[in-house]
Amino acid sequence: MHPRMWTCLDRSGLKVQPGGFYVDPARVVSTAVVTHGHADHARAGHTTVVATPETHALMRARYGAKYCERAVELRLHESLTLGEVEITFYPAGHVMGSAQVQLNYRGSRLAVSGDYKRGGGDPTCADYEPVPCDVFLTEATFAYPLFRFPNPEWELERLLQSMLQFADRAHLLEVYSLGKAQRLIAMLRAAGWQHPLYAHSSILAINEVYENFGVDLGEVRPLAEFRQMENRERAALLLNPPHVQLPLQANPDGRMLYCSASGWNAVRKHARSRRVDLPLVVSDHCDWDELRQSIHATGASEVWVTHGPADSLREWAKESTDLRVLDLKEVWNA
Amino acid sequence: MHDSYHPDHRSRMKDPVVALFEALYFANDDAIRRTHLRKYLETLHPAHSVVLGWLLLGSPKVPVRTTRLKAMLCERISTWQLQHSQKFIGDLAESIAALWPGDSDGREVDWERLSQRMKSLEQHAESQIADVLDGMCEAQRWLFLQVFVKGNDWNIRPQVLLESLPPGAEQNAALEPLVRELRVRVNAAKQSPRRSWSMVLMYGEKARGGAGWLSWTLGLKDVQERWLPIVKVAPAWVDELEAVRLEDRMRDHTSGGRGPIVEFEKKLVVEVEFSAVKSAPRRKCGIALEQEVMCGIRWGAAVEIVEDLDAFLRANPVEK
Repeated sequence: MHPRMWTCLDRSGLKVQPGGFYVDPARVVSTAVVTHGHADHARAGHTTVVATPETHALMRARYGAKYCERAVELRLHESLTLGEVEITFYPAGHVMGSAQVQLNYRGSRLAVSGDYKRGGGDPTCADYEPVPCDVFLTEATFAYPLFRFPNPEWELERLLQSMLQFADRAHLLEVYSLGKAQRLIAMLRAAGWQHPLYAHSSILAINEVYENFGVDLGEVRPLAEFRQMENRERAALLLNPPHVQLPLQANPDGRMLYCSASGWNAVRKHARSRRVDLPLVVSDHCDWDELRQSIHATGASEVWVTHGPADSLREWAKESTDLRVLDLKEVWNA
Repeated sequence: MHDSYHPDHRSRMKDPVVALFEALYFANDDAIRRTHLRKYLETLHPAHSVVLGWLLLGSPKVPVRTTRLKAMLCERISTWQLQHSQKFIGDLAESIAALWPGDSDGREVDWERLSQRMKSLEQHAESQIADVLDGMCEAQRWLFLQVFVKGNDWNIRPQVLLESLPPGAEQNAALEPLVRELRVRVNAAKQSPRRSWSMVLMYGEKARGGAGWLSWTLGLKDVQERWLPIVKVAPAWVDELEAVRLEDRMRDHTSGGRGPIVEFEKKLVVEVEFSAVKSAPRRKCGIALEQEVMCGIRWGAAVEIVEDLDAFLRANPVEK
């Protein structure tokens, strides 16, 4: 039976009918399977949430203890049956606790990727593994051929070189508070960076969860401490989420060097329009090549695309594979 | 660890010219620009004269039409790849640099020799340009297109360039003429009288507590001495057809729709960079720029980029 026959898309998101649950629902539902802790996938208020222990801890840290009524923990590579559907989690390599979900209904298999990052190298989470399936529902944040990401270690080297070159300037690095920040801190530590780091409170709160799961991030001080220091350590590295405006007193002489770590920095114009002095191309999503490799690795004959454009993947599939590629919104109209 | 990291990005770090120009492209203040320039110029190699020349005098522009360049790329990759990427980025230099096939693992480019070669190119030199692009990594292709095809002005003030020179630059035979020219320009800039603005910021939006403009509209005086809202568009690199459409739209909503603009200082150039143009009926000017940044306001050169688009189109006729 084709997965299209036992799933549907409604205002809350992807519903798995024989299991009576949604995957990463956008609205409050009775049972939600949550792939990872980012806010566009994990929302508070569901009655039952099935997620990895790490994702539960991240949701608790972000939304408080009452983020759901019943928390069901499912570890990676473990299975659980909800209704008539067997659910198995596979590592997604995106952030700590991130999982891909394999849904098996009477031998028909649908894999929901959530967000994922192929290639490993992230010391804070388990490496991505391909999920065998008949239909693969993939995210497509960077699904254009122009997106080809460099080795993140090389990008980190650029940051360290800049800190040497501009030794009298603090470097303010814009990073998402969940995932990217911890990944970069861990990579900095692995590269031998022993100096204290300063981070926004939202990053510190997530760091604590990571530390509880055994990820050593070293000493990270509150950003407020840097602001209050009389004689600032000029070479300090500050981490701040992109949406948070830094108070003017944090940079009174205007000598801070603005850096950013994002996959969107692969487009130079994007980085320049945001006034970033040092854009680092570091992403926890797949680039174009990785997306295609991942699709092949699942063995799926049909691909559904969400969280990004489907047009380039569709053209590629038409040109060089037998795959059928559909935008998730088109699946039930096709 | 990974099966698909691209050597391109490593090459970017190895090529000091690429590293310098990428750093200058992103730098937001003169102190940062000076530091990057000083680092590059500290060895005072005669070959640095070519880089100084680009920054001071502008770069040689090779005779290739952007439509031809796009066609050359589409001979190498599927057309949809360029269409999708260009739609997303809105800049040809980045699209072509990213999509041109082939990775080069740090092959060195002799920019001085290349500059000489480009200067001597005549019309219909596409195949030679394709050869050059074939041997480059992504970042080198981007720089090549910025310098030799797009003809980018890097917006480095002569004063900054002068302050970045190491001691002894004037004694270097290769650099001496450039340093002399640099001093002339710095002195001329100091002596030129300050002019009044003829284009004003009419209204703008800032994020709450933010330091930078999110959106703004510039104004020009019309025949009745009223200030008309206008967004002045400069060098996001679009192709000729896109430039025609854009210019038509600008004219329809400014001089075409509201009568002639009496006079304004033609040497004033407001440079706006943007990633895409959208129709915006709620705005008086009729269009909105996505991710626009006022990246420079300056007097003097390069006004022909926008003001003489007619001349540009006469030289590069395209069918509408």
